[in-house]
Amino acid sequence: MRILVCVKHVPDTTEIRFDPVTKELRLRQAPTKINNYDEHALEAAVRLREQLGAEVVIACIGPEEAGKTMKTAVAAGADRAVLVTGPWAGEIDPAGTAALLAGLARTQGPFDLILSGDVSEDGYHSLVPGILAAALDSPFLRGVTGLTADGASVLVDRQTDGVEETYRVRLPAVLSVSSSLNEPRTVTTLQVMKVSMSKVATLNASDVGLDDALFQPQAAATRIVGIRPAAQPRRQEVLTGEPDDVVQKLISNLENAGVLS
Amino acid sequence: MSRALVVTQPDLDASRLVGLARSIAEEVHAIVVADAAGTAIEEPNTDGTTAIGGPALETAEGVADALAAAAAEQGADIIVLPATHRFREITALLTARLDGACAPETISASRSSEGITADRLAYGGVAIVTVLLQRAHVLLTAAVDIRATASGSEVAVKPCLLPMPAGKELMSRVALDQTGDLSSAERIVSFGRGVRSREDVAMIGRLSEALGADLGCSRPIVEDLRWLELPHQVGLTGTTVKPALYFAVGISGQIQHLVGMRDSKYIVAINNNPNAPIFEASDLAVVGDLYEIVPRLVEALAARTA
Ligand SMILES: Cc1cc2nc3c(=O)[nH]c(=O)nc-3n(C[C@H](O)[C@H](O)[C@H](O)COP(=O)(O)OP(=O)(O)OC[C@H]3O[C@@H](n4cnc5c(N)ncnc54)[C@H](O)[C@@H]3O)c2cc1C
Repeated sequence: MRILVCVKHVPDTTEIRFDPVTKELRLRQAPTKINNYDEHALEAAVRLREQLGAEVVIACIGPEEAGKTMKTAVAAGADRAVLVTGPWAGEIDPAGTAALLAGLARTQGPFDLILSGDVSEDGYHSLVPGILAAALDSPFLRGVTGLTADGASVLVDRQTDGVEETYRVRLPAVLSVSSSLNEPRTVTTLQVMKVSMSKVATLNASDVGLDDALFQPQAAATRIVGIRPAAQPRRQEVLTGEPDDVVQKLISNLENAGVLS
Repeated sequence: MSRALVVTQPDLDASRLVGLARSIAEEVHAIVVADAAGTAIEEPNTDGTTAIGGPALETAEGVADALAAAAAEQGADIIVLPATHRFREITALLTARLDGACAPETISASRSSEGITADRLAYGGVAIVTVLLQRAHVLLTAAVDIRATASGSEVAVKPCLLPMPAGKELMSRVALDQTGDLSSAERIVSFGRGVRSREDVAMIGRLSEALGADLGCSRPIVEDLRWLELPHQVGLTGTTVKPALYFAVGISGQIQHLVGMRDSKYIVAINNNPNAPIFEASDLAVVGDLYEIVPRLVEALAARTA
């Protein structure tokens, strides 16, 4: 079995702040890492590799700096990684990412199973795996909470709004996984350092049969044209001091707000 | 003239989707993806409702095929869908089928000289980004609520005769236990890592009982400590809640938590760090040690009702 795991290299969203003075998003300074959700897809692939002897290839569309995420993924148990980069890397939209992943899957494949996380921490679109499945004309499921290989098909449990379903899905298929699927193994800095760069291939759009011009922001399906802080602070009252006082004031505040039963 | 197709299903309240469509389209039609033959209720404030049903609509691929056909038939250039789990799958497939420009989970949309733009949350909820949608077909999704009761004139469900998509076979479907679902809770007491040990969870439990509230928590309580199950987790990867009272105890207020609760009506936070980010999202900031405040508060609440 050959498995492709699509992994995104993202800024650590817990470190992103708005500069209170300039009102600008401090994105550039934020540390970057592998998308949390994709780690679960990688773990699922590595477990299948351990059980069945599958080949696991990592795919990433992103900046050259994503090489470090590729090494992390190989250290976690993948055989090799393919990073497609280009002048558009910082701004590419989900449809563009899916098109490049489809090109990568076609030129590096064939793959029996394509896995990724349900969403990315930064964009939170949840579009790439589905668009990729449509481009490859493969069946697609998201929200995967259980996965068992079974010859030419896989048995998939998944949760959607209030229901749990089990499907038999014919291979090749595209699945995006929920973070409750498994517990990803931890990799040490030393393990990452030991990964040889020869396991990471860095390609251009033309290497996967596509043209850079398609992915420029002006040609893309969607383009970010503005960004601003999401929430205004609430007008708040502060209670501090002796616990007994605080509790009395707290209760009268709750009463005044009309939120006590 | 711009025409929007609002997609919904019988148990959803699509009014927010209709409003979003109205903000950028002259004509708005609704399409109800129904479970079976029979009738569906006409969607209010639209220029017409159609309803479709049939076995092919069991799968996302089938629904995406049917919606692509409906969009072509009605000449719709804007498709607005619910941001539910089921429709997230459908939305991605439909975006591919229409070669469309998609903005999931939009807050608002508008028209400018350049085209249609949509505002949506990104970066874990820190930022609102404005996206320009640069394709002939525009797809938007937005959060919806479950509909309490539906009334209105009925439309007949048209059987969808598309073939069953190949490749996926449904083996079983069971309803998940939804008890303890926080999304409709009136009051929530939620705690985080400020609670030092598993035994102390009982103290938080007493506070939630005294307030007639359901129990929520931050992610580390579920993922790292495993003191509570996932349905109790509030935030980006947990449940989005909007109770009348949200009471956060020993939660720092990282953005991934805030996005799940910041639409609550009245927010109280207890934290011993006066600079905790949770305070910026709170109406009432209680600076102090939760171990001193919570037991006294439980007692005072009991005394109040006694
Ligand atoms: C992709 C992604 C998704 C995530 N999704 C979620 C999510 O859905 N929900 C979620 O909650 N988090 C989520 N997180 C994690 C989030 O970033 C934070 O790490 C988490 O919310 C922190 O939990 P906490 O507030 O309990 O812990 P901490 O950040 O450790 O905060 C503990 C707080 O308790 C206070 N405290 C300590 N002792 C006391 C005391 N005696 N009295 C009063 N106060 C005290 C401290 O001052 C501190 O503010 C996500 C992160 C990522 C990267």
